[in-house]
Amino acid sequence: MHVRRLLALSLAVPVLLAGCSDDPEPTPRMPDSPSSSPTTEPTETETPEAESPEDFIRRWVKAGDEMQVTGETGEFRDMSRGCRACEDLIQNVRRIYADGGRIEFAGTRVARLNSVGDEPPTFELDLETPETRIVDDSGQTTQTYPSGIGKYLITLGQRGEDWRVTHYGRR
Amino acid sequence: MSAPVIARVSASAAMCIAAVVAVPVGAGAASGSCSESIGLWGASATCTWSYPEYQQTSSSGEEHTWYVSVQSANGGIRRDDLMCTENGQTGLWHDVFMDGVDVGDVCVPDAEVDEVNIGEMVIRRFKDIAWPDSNLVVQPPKGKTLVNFETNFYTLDSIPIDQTVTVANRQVVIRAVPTTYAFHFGDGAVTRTASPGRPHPDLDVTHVYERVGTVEVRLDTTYSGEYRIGDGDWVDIPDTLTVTGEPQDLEVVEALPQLVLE
Repeated sequence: MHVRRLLALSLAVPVLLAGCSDDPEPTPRMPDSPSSSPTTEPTETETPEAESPEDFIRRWVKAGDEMQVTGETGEFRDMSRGCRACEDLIQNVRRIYADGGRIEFAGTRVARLNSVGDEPPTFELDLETPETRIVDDSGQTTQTYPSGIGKYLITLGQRGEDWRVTHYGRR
Repeated sequence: MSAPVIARVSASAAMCIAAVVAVPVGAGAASGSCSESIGLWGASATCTWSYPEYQQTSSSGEEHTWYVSVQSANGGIRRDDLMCTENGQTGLWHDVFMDGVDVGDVCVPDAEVDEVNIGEMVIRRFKDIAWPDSNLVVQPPKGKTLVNFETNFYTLDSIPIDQTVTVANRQVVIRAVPTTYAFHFGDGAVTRTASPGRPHPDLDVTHVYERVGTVEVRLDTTYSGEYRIGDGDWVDIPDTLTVTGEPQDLEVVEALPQLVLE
């Protein structure tokens, strides 16, 4: 199965199982297509709700997963300005793809997300991570990371309205 | 489990603390209670230590040198990016170094983030790096003097000396200030003084030899120290070091009056 399909499936499964999970993934928001425009015009302008730190972290995890299976680092980097471990992750991904390789894994699942501090917002994050394989340009698996639950401490910063991850480390 | 050993070089930072202490031997000494590395997420992240964990580990045993240094990267990271919180206390993320190798991160509480402990590191450097001895000048010159005569001793090396070193990723200027001179006259007599002596005719440090013979004279210099981090204030180093001077032979001779016909 293609990696992106694996990831897509993994992102969909938690939605299907949302009623069974203690900490379900949010439903991915897809942009409205032109054909699905509303039939009635809104009477007043709605102020978009500020994103909660928790939602931001979930979105950040998703961006990190997608970065790993696509090699596209832009979105994850934008969400992680000033985070050195994030930059290390980005560089690891870039190196693999620059060499013609790829990363195969089915995406992570947020198993636990718990606030442990407010100033700055700090969270304990448990990421259920499937086996991850690094494949080189000839299709050979050069490295395999076993599956398991990675435990992290995440620190957020804020620039204007936007959250960003300033630090993540294993705890 | 062991933490990954990831070496990083940090550029100058806004502030820094350092503690030179030791811990027991063992591969697990640097592990803290960090969880296993899972996937690329885990492989890219270092271990997060709690501050008490760091304090406990770094303050026991005698096998390793530990210090923490505020995180930075090419001077481009702002304080806001380094802020952290632990048990309700805010602080700054620091790298944990064991024997100079980055072994994880720790949230150092604001109250602990000061520059006091860097002095421990600086004292070590102050004593480790080479400082010059003082050039001893004896009058009369050419290695000869007279018995029962005031032989003059002095040095012109009396100004402070600066050396720039890197301590805990910070540029530190260490200044050695000569404070005490020990003039060893070679016959068992020693004069310890804050004065470097003076050239003739303003005699200051002199010695009268009572016997002829050859003696070995030397001048030892004791330096006190001070340092400053970057452009910060000068801070006294609460210790001194003594540099032993190079010995030189001095022949003590007797002068006999002799009439000379013109």
